[in-house]
Amino acid sequence: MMSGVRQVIKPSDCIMAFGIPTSRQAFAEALANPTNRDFVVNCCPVWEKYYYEVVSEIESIEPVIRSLGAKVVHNITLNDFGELFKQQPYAIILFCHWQEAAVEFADGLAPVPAVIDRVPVAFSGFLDLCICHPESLAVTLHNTRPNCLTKFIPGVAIPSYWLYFYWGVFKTLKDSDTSYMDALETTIRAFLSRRKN
Amino acid sequence: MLVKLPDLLKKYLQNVDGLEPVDLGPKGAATRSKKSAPASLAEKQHLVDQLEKQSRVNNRLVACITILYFLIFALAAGLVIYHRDSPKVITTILGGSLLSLLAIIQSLSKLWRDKNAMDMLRTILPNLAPEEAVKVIQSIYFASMMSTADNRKRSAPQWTT
Repeated sequence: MMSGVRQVIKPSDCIMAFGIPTSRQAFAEALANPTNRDFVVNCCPVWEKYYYEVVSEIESIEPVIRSLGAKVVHNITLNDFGELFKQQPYAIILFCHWQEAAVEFADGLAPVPAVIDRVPVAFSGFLDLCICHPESLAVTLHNTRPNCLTKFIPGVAIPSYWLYFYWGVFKTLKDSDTSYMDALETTIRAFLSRRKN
Repeated sequence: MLVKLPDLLKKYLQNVDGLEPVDLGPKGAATRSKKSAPASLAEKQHLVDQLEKQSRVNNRLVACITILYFLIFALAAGLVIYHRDSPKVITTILGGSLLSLLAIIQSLSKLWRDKNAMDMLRTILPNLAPEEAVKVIQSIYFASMMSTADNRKRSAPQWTT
């Protein structure tokens, strides 16, 4: 497994994983089986809105991200999440919903300890949590997986915004020999300077 | 005044927080459900009133455009008879009237679609609970947004630095 905060990373070392529905079928399945689910059922039960704000953006950005070399996986379950580490990626970017100390994967809400269990103790890469307010997950990861670097969003995570953000990160990683941390920093600066302008 | 259906729906959704972006956390969901339910009963009635008003305007417009359609047709027919000995003029008149009639048909069909959607909403909204009404309106509004945004989405996004 690769390690090192300052090592050069390429998009092919990264996996973008979606636990949220990214197709009409997955959306309909989530709505039809509301037990142990929250995102589609309570946050956005209208497909047209969900498609316009989330799925269409993913459909638009995904080919670009793939062309940069990053891997993209959809509808991941808790088990799939654990399997991702076998591919030995440097960074896993997890797009999931957060509800009361649980992460919602394609197969439903998983409590923080179950998620932590899936992260190998020896994992020394970057776990990028594109999830709203996953503080307890991030803190537990920090305490129990000391080699794993974690980025999380302490505020509201709008999927379409962060999709464009990671596009910027992958573009930076592809165009220059840089570390994941530096690519994040470069992209954050680019976004902030655009906001000022 | 003619107000487009998506604009009416947008205003309603703004008032009931139905345009809040989808986020990945529970906080947004909590805010949405708290705000939209109590406020939307009055908002729903206001929307139904607005739809009734717009539907009347649309009915008048449909009538005017239909009259215009027949007037142009009659005018073209009259001019063709008057210039019956001049094939060039007849061709020009028929071509012109055909184009203008096509434009009229296009606007008429758009108005008709809007009118149908408004009539349907006016019928079903009073029978729906406020939360269900929000879902129906969101469904129609975002479907119309998708059709207008189709071209934007189809073109691959470009990263500019």
